[in-house]
Amino acid sequence: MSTSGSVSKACFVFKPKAGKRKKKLNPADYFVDESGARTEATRARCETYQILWEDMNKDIEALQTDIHKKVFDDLVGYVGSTHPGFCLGEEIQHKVSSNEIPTAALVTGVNMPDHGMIFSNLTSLLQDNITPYVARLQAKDCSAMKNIMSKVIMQFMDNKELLDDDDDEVQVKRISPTMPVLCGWYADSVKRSQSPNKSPSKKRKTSYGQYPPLVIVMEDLEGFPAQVLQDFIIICSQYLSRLPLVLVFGIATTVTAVHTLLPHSVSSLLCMEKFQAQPSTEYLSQVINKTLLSTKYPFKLGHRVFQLLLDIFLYHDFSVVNFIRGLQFAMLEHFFNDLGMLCCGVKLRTSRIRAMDHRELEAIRKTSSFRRYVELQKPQEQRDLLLNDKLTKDVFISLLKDLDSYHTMCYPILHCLHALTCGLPRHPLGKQLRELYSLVLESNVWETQGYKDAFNLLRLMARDDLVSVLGQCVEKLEGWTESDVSDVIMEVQTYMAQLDSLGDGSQEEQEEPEERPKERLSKTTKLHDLQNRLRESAKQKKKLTKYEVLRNKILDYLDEIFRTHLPSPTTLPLHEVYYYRVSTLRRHMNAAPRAAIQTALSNPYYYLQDETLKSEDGTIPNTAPDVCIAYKLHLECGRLINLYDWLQAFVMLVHSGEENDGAGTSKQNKVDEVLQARFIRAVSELQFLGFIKPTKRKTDHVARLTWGGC
Amino acid sequence: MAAGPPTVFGHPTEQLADLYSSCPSRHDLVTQLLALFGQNNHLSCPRVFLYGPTGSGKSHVISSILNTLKLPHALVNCVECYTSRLLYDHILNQVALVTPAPDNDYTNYSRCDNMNDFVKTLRTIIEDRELQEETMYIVLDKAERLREMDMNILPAFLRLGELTGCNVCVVLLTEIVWEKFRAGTGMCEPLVLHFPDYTKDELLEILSSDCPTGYTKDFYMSYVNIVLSVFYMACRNLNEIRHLALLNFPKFCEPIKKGEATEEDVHKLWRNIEPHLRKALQTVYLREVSSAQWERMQEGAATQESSSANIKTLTGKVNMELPFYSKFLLIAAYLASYNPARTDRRFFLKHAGKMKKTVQQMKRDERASSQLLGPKPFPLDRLMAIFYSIVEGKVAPTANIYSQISSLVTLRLMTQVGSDDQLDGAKFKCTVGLDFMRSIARTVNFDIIRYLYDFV
Ligand SMILES: Nc1ncnc2c1ncn2[C@@H]1O[C@H](COP(=O)(O)OP(=O)(O)OP(=O)(O)O)[C@@H](O)[C@H]1O
Ligand SMILES: [Mg+2]
Repeated sequence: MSTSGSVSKACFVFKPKAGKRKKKLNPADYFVDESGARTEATRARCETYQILWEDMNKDIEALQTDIHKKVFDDLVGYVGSTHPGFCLGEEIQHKVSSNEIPTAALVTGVNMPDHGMIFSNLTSLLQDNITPYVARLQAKDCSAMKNIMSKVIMQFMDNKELLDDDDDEVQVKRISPTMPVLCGWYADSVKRSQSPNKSPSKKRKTSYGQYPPLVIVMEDLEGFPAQVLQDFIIICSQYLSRLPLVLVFGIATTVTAVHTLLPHSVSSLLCMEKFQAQPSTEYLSQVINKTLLSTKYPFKLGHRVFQLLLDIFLYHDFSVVNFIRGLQFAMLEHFFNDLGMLCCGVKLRTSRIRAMDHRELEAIRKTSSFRRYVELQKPQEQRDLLLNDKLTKDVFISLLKDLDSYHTMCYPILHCLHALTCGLPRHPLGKQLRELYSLVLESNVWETQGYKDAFNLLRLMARDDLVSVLGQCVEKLEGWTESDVSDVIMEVQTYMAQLDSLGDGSQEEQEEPEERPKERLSKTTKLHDLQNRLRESAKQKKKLTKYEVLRNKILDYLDEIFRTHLPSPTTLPLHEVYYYRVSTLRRHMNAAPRAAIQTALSNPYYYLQDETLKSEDGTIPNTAPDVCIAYKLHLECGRLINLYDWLQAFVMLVHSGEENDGAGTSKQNKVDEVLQARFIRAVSELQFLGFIKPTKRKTDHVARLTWGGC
Repeated sequence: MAAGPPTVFGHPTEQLADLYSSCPSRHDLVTQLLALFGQNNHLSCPRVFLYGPTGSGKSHVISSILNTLKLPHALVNCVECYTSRLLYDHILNQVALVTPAPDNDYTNYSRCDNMNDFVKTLRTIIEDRELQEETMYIVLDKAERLREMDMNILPAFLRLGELTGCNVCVVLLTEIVWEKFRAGTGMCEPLVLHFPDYTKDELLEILSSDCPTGYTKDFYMSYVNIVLSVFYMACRNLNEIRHLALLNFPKFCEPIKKGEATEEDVHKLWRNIEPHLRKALQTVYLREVSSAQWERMQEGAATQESSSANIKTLTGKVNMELPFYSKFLLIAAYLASYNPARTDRRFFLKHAGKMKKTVQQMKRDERASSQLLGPKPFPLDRLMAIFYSIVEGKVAPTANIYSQISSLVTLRLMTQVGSDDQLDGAKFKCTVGLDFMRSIARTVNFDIIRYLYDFV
């Protein structure tokens, strides 16, 4: 910034110096310490990050194929089953009973950023199982008939299979993209794959049928121009007897989109079958389960960061891909930090702690959770913890071990609490596990109102319901493989057995049996009613039945479990090592370019950090960049701005400082050429930024494009 | 089998019999066309114009005639020819019997860029094939597309015989009347033949030829009769009825397969199938389910009686999920589209007082309810202003918000009208209907009716 004083730096041409080639940076180059040097420590952090991310990414990718497995299998099966009686050959005049194109409508949901991944998975699945011939179309490539036809034919004929098998490449470019060409090519390639003298290629994993269908995938159907799509479908239906075409529509909204695009005469050429992809919320839950709610990876997100990523997902795009990117970004940031050093497996971590020098230890001592921890110790120990490096190292090791064991119990118990409460009316602790997790990240969950409400509701639960939710808890716990929770399982099972052994008669043993059925907690019961009943029952203070006694005992036990195992990580010493909590992520993940530009223009000090630009009352000093001054002035105008007035005001403002210096004011009427040039440049910069535009309504005026004054 | 009339124009009798049997209910028109074409070496009528509603068998009849009688021809669908060059190529390839294949490097018969070349090349091919003596038929299906091509194409095709000096017959097939083709000068009047809609009896006759193997023709006829009785009022399109008939036939036969009825129990079968046909009337018409899926749905309906819910999910009436802010953006877009801009102040300012319409306003509104007039374009600024006033909480104008607007445009829930330039005051319209909008608004607890000028 010091070399060029104006923000319009982008306008200057900097020719690259001949000798200095821009060298490509690899990720490791970004890992530097405060002084910008790459040290042993930064290298280690970078490596840890890379290994961790690779592992995590592998898991996520495995999920990707898993999540859509069912719908993909159905779809692939459907594509395989179309055109059962298809054959070429002239002697058998193959009579197509209908001219309907088999079409699979895949409803994908509105999470557009994820679609690329969905369709590449689908394509490779189709290519592995059914047919080598898959063409993918996107609306942006298909603005006219010509484009769509050549895209389709190019993709089919450029097919890898074809090129590999063949020595002389087919020159697709020269060929005019028409359906007869495709017919000729298809007949030929079918013949070629059948010819006996050809040795079966080894690469081919599965043998396709005799007539592999030609699949055309339209990824974003809504975006296709209606006319083009209609014509394309009409053409395709004409050639069904010679080409086993199958369409796959990727529909983001609803199947009715097809009818808004196609008139009945065209849609009757389709024989559609609908496939519903998993909603992305489901996928997100699984990603969170696999990555964050797992002891496999030490890296965790702090409450605010987690909530931010969730908000972006729910409020903005439903995109899991973006969520994963956010996660990766947070991780990268975490490892920039010194603490990231210790965010790794036990062994490595211990050896790293051992190898730490005094400076590094100090950095960790400064973390707020550790200081809080120190303050709770006796004075002597406090001094040791702050001065004795060796002892501190031991404490670090044991504290981080504690954190590890916290995690091993925290996740299964979290699942358990979720199973217990997710079915309650009004979902006091959230419907989704992620909501509950976010609560736990924020503070001790048992201190929240939701937790109290949930337990109040649980304490009213009828026996059958209680048994069933306890069963679900046990199921969740038994399904947990990462750590040992058998104690809890055993305990809960014992309680369930006790509930069973109570027998049916147990409830009637006490007085007021007619009250019992009313107490059944049905899922639809209003919260309000329940509270009333709660109050009543508190008033009555009646004697408890056996069941109620047992129920209280069970719930007390569970409450105890939750209190021991689900404290918020923020209360634990050294949690900063694992939890990324910096909220600057918002600036990166949810950028507000317009606000940034406005800040830059109205308060240049914010970015330039130049003392002379500082102003208290929101006025702009005349030392500010020209564009800021021009911007400030234009805020005071209406929809149309007179350029000459603007220039005058600009000159005034720029001169206002000089007047103090005693410079002459005689130049008032004749504007300095340099100033005029500066003004013009500022104005064109504002135009470039989209604040103004030239208008034809009045000469020598420009129109303002933004609303709102100063 | 109704035999054709005695005139045979030199065609073998068995071919003619085939032809007539493949075109039930169209014997008159076939006869008429054969008479127009005459014998192979006769100079036939140089231009014929066939029109009729979709599914009336135009393409079917013509291609049956040409293929069964093995007449030299070129049959081109003009939809496929989005440039005139492609039109020429298609015709010439077919006349010259060239099919693009690897052997000829997928090339066309010859390069042909304009009408002049086309006429010349066509003549050469006919001479090469020594077909001067025979009539060459050139059929242009969906001929209405020709009107959108170069000016000279339609007139030239109508005079193709004169221009080439050969015995060429050009047949145009279309759904619209000849009067709509007349434009400019130099049009020769073709001979016009009309393909009327099929009557109920004709439909019955055609459909009876679909009879699946294993069933008697009478039985299938009685089934088709039932189908027609349900659908004929709603739809007379042959394709559609044929589709429906085939789709529901397995269901119709079910009692017979189960041994609960015989082919003679027409009444019982009718009672069995009728409700299903009624249901099909609502859903299958949209072709949103394939026959296999339809069968599965029917089975599902049999097992659990809540069949209507079942169908609902399959026909895609399930609510679409949108991100939270997208919903509000869409609501804002809807409000901006259907409310006059002058009323915004009243709706969205805190202390605007209660809205009352004056008598004059009411009169005007009666004339032009915006629900009837459709959405009006609005600028982005207005959308954002409404958005900020209806959305709860503080929302930063982040890039994510703006990208959601373009997402809504790609999803066709909104469209951009006017200039493509974002800076130059792009305008948008909301394209979703009120019902959809209400269901979206309900999910975010927003009472949209209260904000609509039409409902004040
Ligand atoms: N008389 C008939 N006998 C047998 N099948 C027929 C008859 N008429 C029409 N069809 C069948 O109905 C279907 C639609 O007919 P066809 O395509 O010829 O209609 P069209 O008039 O060309 O419609 P469009 O204007 O949409 O092109 C075809 O599959 C054809 O086989
Ligand atoms: Mg036709």
